[in-house]
Amino acid sequence: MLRVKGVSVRYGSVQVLRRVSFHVAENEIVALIGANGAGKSTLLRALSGINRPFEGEILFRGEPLLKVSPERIVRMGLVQVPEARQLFPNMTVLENLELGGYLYGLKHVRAKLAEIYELFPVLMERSRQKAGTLSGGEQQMLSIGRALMARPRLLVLDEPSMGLAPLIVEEIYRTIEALHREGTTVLLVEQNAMGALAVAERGYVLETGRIVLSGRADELMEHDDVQRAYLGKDYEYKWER
Amino acid sequence: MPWQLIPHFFVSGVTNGSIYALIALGYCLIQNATGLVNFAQGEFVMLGAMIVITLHNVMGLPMPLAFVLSTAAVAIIGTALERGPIRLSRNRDVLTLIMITVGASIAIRGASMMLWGKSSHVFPPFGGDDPIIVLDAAILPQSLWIMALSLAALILLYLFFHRTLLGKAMRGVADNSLGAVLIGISVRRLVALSFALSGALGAMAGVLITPITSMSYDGGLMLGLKGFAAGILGGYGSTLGAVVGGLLLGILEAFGAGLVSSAYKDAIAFLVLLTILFVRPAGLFGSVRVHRL
Amino acid sequence: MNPIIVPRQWRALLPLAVVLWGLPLVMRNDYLLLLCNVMALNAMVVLGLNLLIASTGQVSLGHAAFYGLGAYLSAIASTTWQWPLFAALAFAAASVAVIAFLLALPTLKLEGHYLVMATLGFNIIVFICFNQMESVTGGPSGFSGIPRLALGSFALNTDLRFYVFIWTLFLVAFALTLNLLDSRLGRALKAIHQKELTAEVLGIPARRYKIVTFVLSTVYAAVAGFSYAHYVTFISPKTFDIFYSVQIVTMVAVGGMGSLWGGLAGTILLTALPELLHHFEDLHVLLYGLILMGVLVFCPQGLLPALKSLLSARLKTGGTAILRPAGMDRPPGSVGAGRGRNVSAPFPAGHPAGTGMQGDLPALKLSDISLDFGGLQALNQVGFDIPGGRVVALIGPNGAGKTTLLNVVSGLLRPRNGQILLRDRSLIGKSPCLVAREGIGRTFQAVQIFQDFTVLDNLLLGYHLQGHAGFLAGYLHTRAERREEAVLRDRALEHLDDFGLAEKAHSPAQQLSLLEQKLLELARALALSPSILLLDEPVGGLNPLESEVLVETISSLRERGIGVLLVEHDMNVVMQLSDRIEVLQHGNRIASGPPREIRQDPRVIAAYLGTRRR
Repeated sequence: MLRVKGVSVRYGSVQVLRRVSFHVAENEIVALIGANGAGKSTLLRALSGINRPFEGEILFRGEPLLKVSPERIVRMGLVQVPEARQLFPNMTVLENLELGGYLYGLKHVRAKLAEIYELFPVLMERSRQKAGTLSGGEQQMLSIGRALMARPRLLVLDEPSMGLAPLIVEEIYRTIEALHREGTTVLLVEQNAMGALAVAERGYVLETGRIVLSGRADELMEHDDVQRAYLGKDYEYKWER
Repeated sequence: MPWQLIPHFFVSGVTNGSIYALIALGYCLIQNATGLVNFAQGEFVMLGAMIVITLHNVMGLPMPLAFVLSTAAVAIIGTALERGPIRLSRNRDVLTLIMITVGASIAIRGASMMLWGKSSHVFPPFGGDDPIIVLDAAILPQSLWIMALSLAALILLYLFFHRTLLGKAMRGVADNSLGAVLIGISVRRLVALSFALSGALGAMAGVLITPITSMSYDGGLMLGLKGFAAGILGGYGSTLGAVVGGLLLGILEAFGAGLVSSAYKDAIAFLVLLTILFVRPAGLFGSVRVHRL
Repeated sequence: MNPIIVPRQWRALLPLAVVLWGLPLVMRNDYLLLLCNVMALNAMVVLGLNLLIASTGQVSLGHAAFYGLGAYLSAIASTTWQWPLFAALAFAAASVAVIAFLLALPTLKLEGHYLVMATLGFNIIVFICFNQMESVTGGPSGFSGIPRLALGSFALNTDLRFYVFIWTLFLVAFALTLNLLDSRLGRALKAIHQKELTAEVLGIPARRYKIVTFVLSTVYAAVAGFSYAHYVTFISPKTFDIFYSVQIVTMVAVGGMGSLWGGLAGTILLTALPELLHHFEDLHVLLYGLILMGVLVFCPQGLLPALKSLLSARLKTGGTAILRPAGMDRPPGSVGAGRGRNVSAPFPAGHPAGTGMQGDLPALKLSDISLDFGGLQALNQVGFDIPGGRVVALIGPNGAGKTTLLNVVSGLLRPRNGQILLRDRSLIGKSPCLVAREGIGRTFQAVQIFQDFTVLDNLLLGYHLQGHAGFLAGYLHTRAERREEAVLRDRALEHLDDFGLAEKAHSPAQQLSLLEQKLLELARALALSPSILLLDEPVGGLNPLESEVLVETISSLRERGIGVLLVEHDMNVVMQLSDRIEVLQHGNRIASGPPREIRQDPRVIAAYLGTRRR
């Protein structure tokens, strides 16, 4: 469904992504993990049409995404749950959800709202509250709910566990698994490697702008190199004086 | 102390204040959608009046029709401003963009001077000339029209922003434009819409006030600046602030001119502006980012 | 090479002066003479406005008011109060300066367009006052009977005499302003325009300088107003309305915002324009608007700079050249061996960089720092020490609060509570420029190099605090100022040499490779003679070979006793470089210790990788 080939992105004078390639097949749940500075968010911005890569190509359901406007990318079915949620803090939960369905009009919104409330009952409780006053976990659920309103074929989540307590993270991951079971394709981008890999079927490891590892999620979990990618190689001979 | 004149000042204040509120709302919309101060806002007010002059006085169209057509025309001009110079300079810094709107306002004024000459124009008030006496105050029918139509406009705007998906989307863009883009809201189109609405509001203000004060090619400048002062007073970027600020400014002006000195009437608005900037830049309902992180 | 009083660009000024003085000889037309006089007056106001824009990037739409105040105040002083001319001038200039100061004080701390608003509003109020205060100003019918300008008994009662006077005055002001922009202060002003926060972090008192420049810019207008009043001997409010302010700004915009020569060109062009369009008077206003819009949309830097860049060769941006300071050609593997040796001799004895204490005495003590952003707790009672001569790395997952902590130490953010002690001096609540003065240097995640400056000028900004020449010395290029500048230049060049950048000293900074830019930023921070350096992701974006070079350089800072607080994601670098590592998560300090320990610490591993589920 999603094929990224040789994508490189520059941010100012710094090259953040170097020829990144990966793919996500329909109905899969794929994890993309990496430490900070690895380039995860830049990659996702490129996917959603906000940063343009200067080389490489991105194909979504066979169609190239490179020159497509962000609005159209959402309409095509690639919807992102962004890092730090990017909600509308001064608008109510209900309004946030409604705007998720903006592209499809009021009738769709009304129909889909019921589904979202079933998935996240707490959102129905808080539907008249301003989004900025929700707790971290509730905001994350709202962000996912809002993205779901946009009828995603591929749901991309950017660090959904960031800043959340472990118990809430558990809940979020369970929801993601449920969504996957119901047929949504998921690309999960995380710093929290273990959590993401436990949910996913396949994984990629991003380090300083390059994909350095890939494979089945359960195999990656055991791999030493994953730890090294985060916490550095052994430099015994360097700081051992 | 001319106590018996107080109701009169009050009416005059609310009348002018409604106009300022409409203009301030125009600034507010564009500020929220783009972060820009649109200096050409005052010219929208002037254009609204002038186009009605042409349609009604010269071409003989009935007033309601002229009103509607003029509002639509200025909305289109507003959109043209956005699609043209503003969009062409997307990547410039905010100050340059503001200066571009200054240039636009001058250009519009210059064009008006050529089209309509330097003299003042007027058209007859909506309800006739005879003032209605209410509680010792003589209220012009036009004043009532102004208050009523402004109120109607405000209600419509409120319904638009809170009951329609498009209006909510505009609020969303103002709240978090990145979030809006990521769920498929076309920010560019909404920005154009905000300019169109601004133009419409300005035109309305112009048409409403002209029967009372007449309008000339450079009348937009003062009104625009006063509307801006009203916006700052109420809290720049806040729609509630725009309305409250407008009414408050109108009343302050009326009382100031009546009780203190009418010669300096125009200066009052700017004194208010400077005072607010010095004392509380956020105004009554707004929030402001101070330069230091 | 560094002339006093006479500006560096005197070679360009001389032909201009010759042309200007020679022009009346060829011009037989009195009308043209008058036009040139008007041009000179405009040029004077434009000069002041340009200084303001060049230095603060802020625009004033109210300079007509200051022009008018200069005219009216001196007219009243000399006519109504019968004061001698120079007293009237002093009165007018001083009053305008005070008013400008009061106007600038509250508004300059807000965003740019607030100054535009305030000056616009001010202009209108002043205009209304001119019209209304008839007893003082004569009201709309104007003020007449103003005594002519005279130098002693020599009255400037012809257009020609005034021409010579005003253009000479302008040339002098122009030359002096060129001097100012060429001095240490001018450099600081241009830096404030481009990146105000970065300038502050280098110790430059931005707010103070902005206010001073605003006031100075109004004095130019006041002097022009004085000259105008005593030339035409009759003034009326109409001259000083908002449209004049807009015209002035348009002249600046057309010529190039912040370019003095451009401002002059713009003035000449736009003063002449209405005369050319004399027959199309109606078109006047429309054309002005279109020109302003057109210039700003299509060449916002102005016509002159746009022409310049069209004519000169295209500049190439930095290549991927890896810097090779002396002795750096070894492969990374043997880095350890070179540790003790003065690898690139970055800091020979007596170098100003690094005068902190050696050994393990803590140079910077952080304690109990807490900060919230709205409802989010960004930092929670964070505290640790950074000893002189040691490298402490700050690591943690995304959102942990690392850059926030650096910003708190730099003075860019104010914590809710906590203490920052630099050798017993408290830094809490101090502004960034004061913190820099205390001896804390900083680099940023995205390299904050001033792209339009040369490499040398970038570095010289770091030396700003080591100079003391003020505005007056800057204007006059006094002997002392020139000497100080020369000393600073020499020091800077030496410093560049240590970093291997000496050959590129006069190239534009944007031509440097990323590594060279980062080294430049580091060198600039070191110019503050800091005892503590805060480095925010220094190796971000560098390839492994380039990282090595930077790591070596940072490592050698230890020898100078500088304490380094390093935020970095590249764990290889962190493990190599640090003496101690502090780990933050969700704003809390969860671990601290030498690299070996931290790497195996299960809490740290869990913080980054998460724990296994089920």
